[in-house]
Amino acid sequence: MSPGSSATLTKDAAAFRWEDMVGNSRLLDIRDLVTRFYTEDGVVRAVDGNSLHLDAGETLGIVGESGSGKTVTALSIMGLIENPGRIDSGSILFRGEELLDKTPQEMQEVRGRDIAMVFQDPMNSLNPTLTVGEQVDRVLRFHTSLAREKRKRRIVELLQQVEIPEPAKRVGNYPHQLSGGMRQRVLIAMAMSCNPTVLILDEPTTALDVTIEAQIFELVDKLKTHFGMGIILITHDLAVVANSADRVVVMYAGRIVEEAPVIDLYEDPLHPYTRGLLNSIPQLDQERQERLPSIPGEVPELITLPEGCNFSPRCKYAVEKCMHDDPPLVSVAPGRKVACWKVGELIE
Amino acid sequence: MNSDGNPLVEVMGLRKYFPAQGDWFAQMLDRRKIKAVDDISFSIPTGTTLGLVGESGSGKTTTGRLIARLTQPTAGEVRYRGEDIAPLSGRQLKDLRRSVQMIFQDPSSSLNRRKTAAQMVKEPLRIHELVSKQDMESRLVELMEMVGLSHHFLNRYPHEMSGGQRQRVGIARALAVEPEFVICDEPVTALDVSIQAQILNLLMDLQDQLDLTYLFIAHDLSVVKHVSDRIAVMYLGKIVEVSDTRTLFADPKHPYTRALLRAIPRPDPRSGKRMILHGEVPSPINPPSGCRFHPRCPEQIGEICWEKEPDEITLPDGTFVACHLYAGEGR
Amino acid sequence: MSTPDVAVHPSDVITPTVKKHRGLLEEVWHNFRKNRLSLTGGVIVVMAIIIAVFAPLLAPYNPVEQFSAPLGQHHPLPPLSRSEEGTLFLLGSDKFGRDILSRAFYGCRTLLQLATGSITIAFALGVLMGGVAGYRKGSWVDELIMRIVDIMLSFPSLVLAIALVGAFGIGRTQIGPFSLSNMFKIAIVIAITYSPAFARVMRGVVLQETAEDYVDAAKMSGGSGWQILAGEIFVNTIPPLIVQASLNMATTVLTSASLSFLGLGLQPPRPSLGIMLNEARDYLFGGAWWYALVPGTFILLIILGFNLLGDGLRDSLDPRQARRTRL
Repeated sequence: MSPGSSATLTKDAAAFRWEDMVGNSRLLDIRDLVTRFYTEDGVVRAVDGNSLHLDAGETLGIVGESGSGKTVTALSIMGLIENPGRIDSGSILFRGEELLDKTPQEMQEVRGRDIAMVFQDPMNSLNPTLTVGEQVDRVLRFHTSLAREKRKRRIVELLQQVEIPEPAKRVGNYPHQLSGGMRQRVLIAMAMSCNPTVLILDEPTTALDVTIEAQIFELVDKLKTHFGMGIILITHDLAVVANSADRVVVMYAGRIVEEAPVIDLYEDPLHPYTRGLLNSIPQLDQERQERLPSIPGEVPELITLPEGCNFSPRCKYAVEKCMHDDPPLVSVAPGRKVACWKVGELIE
Repeated sequence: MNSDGNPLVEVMGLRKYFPAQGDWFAQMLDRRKIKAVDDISFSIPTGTTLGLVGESGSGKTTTGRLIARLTQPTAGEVRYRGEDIAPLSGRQLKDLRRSVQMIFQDPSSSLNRRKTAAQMVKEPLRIHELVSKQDMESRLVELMEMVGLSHHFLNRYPHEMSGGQRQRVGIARALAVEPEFVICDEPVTALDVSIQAQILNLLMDLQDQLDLTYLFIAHDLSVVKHVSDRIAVMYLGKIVEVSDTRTLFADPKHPYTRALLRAIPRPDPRSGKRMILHGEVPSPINPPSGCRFHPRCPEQIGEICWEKEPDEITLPDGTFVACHLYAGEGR
Repeated sequence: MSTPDVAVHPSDVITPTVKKHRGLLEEVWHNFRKNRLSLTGGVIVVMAIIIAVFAPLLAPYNPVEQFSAPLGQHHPLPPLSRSEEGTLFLLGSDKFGRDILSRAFYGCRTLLQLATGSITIAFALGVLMGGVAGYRKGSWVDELIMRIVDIMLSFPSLVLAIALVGAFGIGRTQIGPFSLSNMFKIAIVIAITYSPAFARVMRGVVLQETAEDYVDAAKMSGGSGWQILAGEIFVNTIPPLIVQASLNMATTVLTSASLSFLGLGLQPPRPSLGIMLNEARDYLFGGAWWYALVPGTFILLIILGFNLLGDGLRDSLDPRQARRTRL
């Protein structure tokens, strides 16, 4: 969104951008990203040479457990990696522009205006001393040059957009007066305030009840379709991803181990980790089993990664080679990538 | 699992109200109460697992704490082996603590960060004088191995363990006194997905090996389905449905149960759109009149829903349900 | 006690994968070492303690011995001058002909004795009050204790101390079979003045800790209130209490010196930095600059040392620094 057109943030502007985007649909192109944290205790290899992409109108799910590096990936895109962390190498192209070449001031412009993020834990992401209206206002004041009256109207419009009932009243509410679901909607409203091209949601519903979670995803889906955004959904919840993502990337201990369109991933998971994970979740529509198949062992710490494949200590298919050589992420079919030496040879 | 039919735990007319305000002065001015648990009754037969499910504000955690006697009821009774636990104190209360134990949700909070695993697991053994000094070491190792941890963990601190390992230590501590009844308060919610299955398997194995009775509190129905024989569904301080597991999933009766089942995402991209339950969970300070669920209920039948609280009805298939839809079908 | 038949497969038993971290003490020391200011504070405090403990060995002369001034001169004599008897006054003499350096060393000693004693009593009192109040939050016990604490805190500490000294009287008193020395009484006065601060801190930490599940777990283990407070909670309250103690040492020192200055503390001829300051008042503008400067500097350095130390401890005990990056 060029500075000149910032004055008119109406639905016309949104339609305009959709057209603008059809001819240029790859929003994010990340190649060989390496982000590390240089702490006293050692080097934390949070993102270890990962590549992924996001196109307009799609939802990319990044699935991983704690310590997988998924949040750090999002923070790297947003330019929010701080000491002792560093993006050591790689490239992040946003609509063709290299984000890693930008100065901090330039990234500030990009953040919020072009790429927006909704962080984990809505309970603590809002400033408890400011009203909802004031917080959304701050975003608008920073990124747009709208006059006060116009901003006020825009704020109510934004709250309405996220389906908050009685938005005009809510503007004056403080976060503690709102429920978890409402707070999450406010955060989404703030993220949407400048019609970003890319919206990143980091564990958006972990702290929410399942009935509220369903509402939030429905909302996000509507917004995506209407505004033609690309969405990155970061979560550990395989069920949530199944219902909301178009494509999925599975991360384990800092690396991407599998990438696939969502239906393929669930129908035919290729990586042992993905398989193990899917098998181990108790499912609602399954018959009750005596024992849940579980993955033995623990997730490794990013400071002390095992030699060879990071998953090998827990993998029931592991052979000598797996313990010494790190398998690269290779394409095995259109849109499908796996990082495993034994892909194609796995037997139940 | 044998069940001799006599309920080990019985809850009758249980209520727990909290003052809406923090200090005694404000309480004088604002006498409103948070009705966390508002007249619930159920029982747990020996050797079985009752799953207690609900979203935030349902009162399930408070119920767990009431049964654990970490807090006292405002009204109603909790009976263990037929005896009301509320008036117990001193020696008798200590004896109760040998039979009734609890596993907590957050493994970072439930372990004392300045104590080693050995010190924590030793404490109940020491307080109840269950093991002599000579036998202590071997008993600790035995308990650790029972939960799948090598003895190396004994002299480790919580921050030197992963979440799953900490939870295992918590389980070892609970089992140290050889209890009969264990309240599991969301034991896998705070754990990584790949560890959840391990811990669930462990809990089920231990139930078989040690003849335990469980109250399993969770918000995730799929987890509860896996471990429970019977399930009780709570909404805003009330129990809306109690049924055996199979029946609950095959034929849910209460509109809330049905909505909950439809709202839960399946890890299957082709499972279709979820049914959205609209509205926010209301506040327990000012619950809706009549049936608490009526403002969000997609199956309201009329005025009676907001005028009268539904009675608890026992249906022919053994389900308890509190809903006007079924008035006249049971007793 | 029957041992259940547990089938344990060796592969089922987990061995530690997480690195063993440094112990708490090492972690604290490590963080502390990095901070220049706190190290300085630590050094000063250590030096003060050495002086205090070894004063009898380090002081060149007896602090109460009066030496005669050479003919034609009178006390106070400037630094590096000599008395009639040949004593070298490294930092000068006071108006009675006593060696200021020796008196300062001994003054340091009494000051630290007093401060340590009163802090210990304040700590014990405060921890007890705060612990009981925090554990029984909301009850009348809590209200009673905290209102007393509030009342005490509403007095400026020096005013309170003066009032208490007035109430207890100066000098040795006899209470039944106990003969309380003046120093002991002053220590109690100061302890009472500063125990509310400890009570507040303790209560705050206890409130935080009782919200954690491990306290409930301890209850489930069968522990009684006192067992839980002492056995589980207390060990978690020590870091903030140590910080409080260290910072309060500074203020305690100041209060003791102030009391002595006002004549309400230790009585002459006991060497006391406060009294020295009092005596030096007449000479502030009269040329004997060393008379006030020496005790003043000693007091300044001691207080500074404890302040820096306290700040440093607070920072190095800060769990935020010890926590690892959350990914």
